[in-house]
Amino acid sequence: MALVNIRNLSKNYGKGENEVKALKHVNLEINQGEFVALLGTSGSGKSTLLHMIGGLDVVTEGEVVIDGHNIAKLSRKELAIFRRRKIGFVFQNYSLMPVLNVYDNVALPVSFDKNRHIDHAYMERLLKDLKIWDKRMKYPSELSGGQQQRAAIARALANKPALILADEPTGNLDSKTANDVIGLLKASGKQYNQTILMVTHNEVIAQNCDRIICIEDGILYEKGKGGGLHA
Amino acid sequence: MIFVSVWAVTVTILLLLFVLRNRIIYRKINRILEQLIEGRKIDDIPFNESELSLFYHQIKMISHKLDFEIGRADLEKEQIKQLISNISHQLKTPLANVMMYEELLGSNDLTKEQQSNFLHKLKTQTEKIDWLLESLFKMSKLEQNVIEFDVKKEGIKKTLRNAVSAVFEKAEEKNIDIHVMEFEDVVLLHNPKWTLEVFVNLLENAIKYTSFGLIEISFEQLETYSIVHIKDNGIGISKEDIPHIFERFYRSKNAEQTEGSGIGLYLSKMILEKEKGYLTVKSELGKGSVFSVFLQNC
Repeated sequence: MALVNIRNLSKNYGKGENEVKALKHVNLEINQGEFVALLGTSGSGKSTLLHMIGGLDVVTEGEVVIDGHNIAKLSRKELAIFRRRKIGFVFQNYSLMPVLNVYDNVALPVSFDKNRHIDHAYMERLLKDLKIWDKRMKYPSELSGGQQQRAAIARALANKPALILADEPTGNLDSKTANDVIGLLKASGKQYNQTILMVTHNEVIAQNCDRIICIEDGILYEKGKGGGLHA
Repeated sequence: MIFVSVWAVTVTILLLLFVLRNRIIYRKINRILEQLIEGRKIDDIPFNESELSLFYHQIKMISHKLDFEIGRADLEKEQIKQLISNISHQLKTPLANVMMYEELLGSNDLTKEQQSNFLHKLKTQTEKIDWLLESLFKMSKLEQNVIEFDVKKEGIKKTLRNAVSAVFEKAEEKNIDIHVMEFEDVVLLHNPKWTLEVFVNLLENAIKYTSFGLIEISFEQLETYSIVHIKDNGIGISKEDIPHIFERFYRSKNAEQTEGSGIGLYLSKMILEKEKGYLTVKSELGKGSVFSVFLQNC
């Protein structure tokens, strides 16, 4: 069963003369457990697509169905809870809370669910797998870029979400650190049976994924399969 | 007196409401558990902050996990079917050769020289069959998770040295130098026996696809991973082939003339994944390739 199902998705910004078509009739299916790279240059529409899937922006046409739920049909409040439980986000700029230490940052999404208790044994395993266990009492400002991003990956996994969306997770890192972070993202993805969609412009980094999808001018192509994906 | 009875009635009503609420929750939980047991579609989740909503969500996660495992088992079954058909296909050629040489050797009018020539060829073919069976055996064991992977904290230098000495003769036969850049030994998370397999595979490939020249092995340490780069100046891999070379039994058109089965890289990738490491390649057609083995630091 496809975890993510995108049908005929279009997104336009602006109106009239200033209208920009960021996505043009995109169709895409992502299966559970897949690690997919979305490869494209800046302005190709890759981040727009990621934002649509994450419910961070409203679609112009078509639908995004995640785990059987058409996210356009959820109310604002429902969408917030849906996102919290089903989706983990990893951003280019880490987005960690500066006033919380690593452990609390990672536990934060779990503590938002008021009926949910933090599973400390799971947290320990997660932090150890991402090699930041000995940094758990440190604050984000005391960490290197790679360590901050690893903490952000741990935070995305803390809720055991169905899907992880990573937007240029290595964009702010040098190529060595990028290799480090991607390796751990992949290893933990496999370990916890995660479905990951990662936006990147770096081909070598995309090589680590199970599947590479290219995006150009708002249109998708599957790498190595030739034909376009859009209908 | 009136006060007491009002109080008593309120308490009774509250108690009844509480019991009723619990019964409703219990009934709903019961209903979705029945759905889960029967493998039916589970009711849609109302997304709110209630305990029940979270509970629904977690039940749905269990159901996904089950579906995922079943799907994976089906896929594995399909892969094993393919594997068997591939094995028989791979074994056909060397086996046909063995039968041919056997027949030739059976005839009486052979010179001593011819005899030893055919015997030599027969030996090469049986060795190939042996090697094929050996790799297929390893692959199927790894795929079915039969081998409990014992990942240890061990120095990488010894593993690398063993790999180089295992292929040294082959390299020498082709006049290829293997140059290992100097580096301090580092303890890495790996299984020496299986990692040796990876290095030998990569080095044998480098030798196979290089007609003469140099293989360089270098080492680089990152914060959480260390990398062993194996660089050759061989035939290289085309851009179109790169996304596929780690697939089982995949052989690029450029490699068709060279002996091989398309198992080595697939096996290497699988071994490294079990060690929580990974494998990347950079290559240019006609110029050579660099394979990089990533293993986790301790």
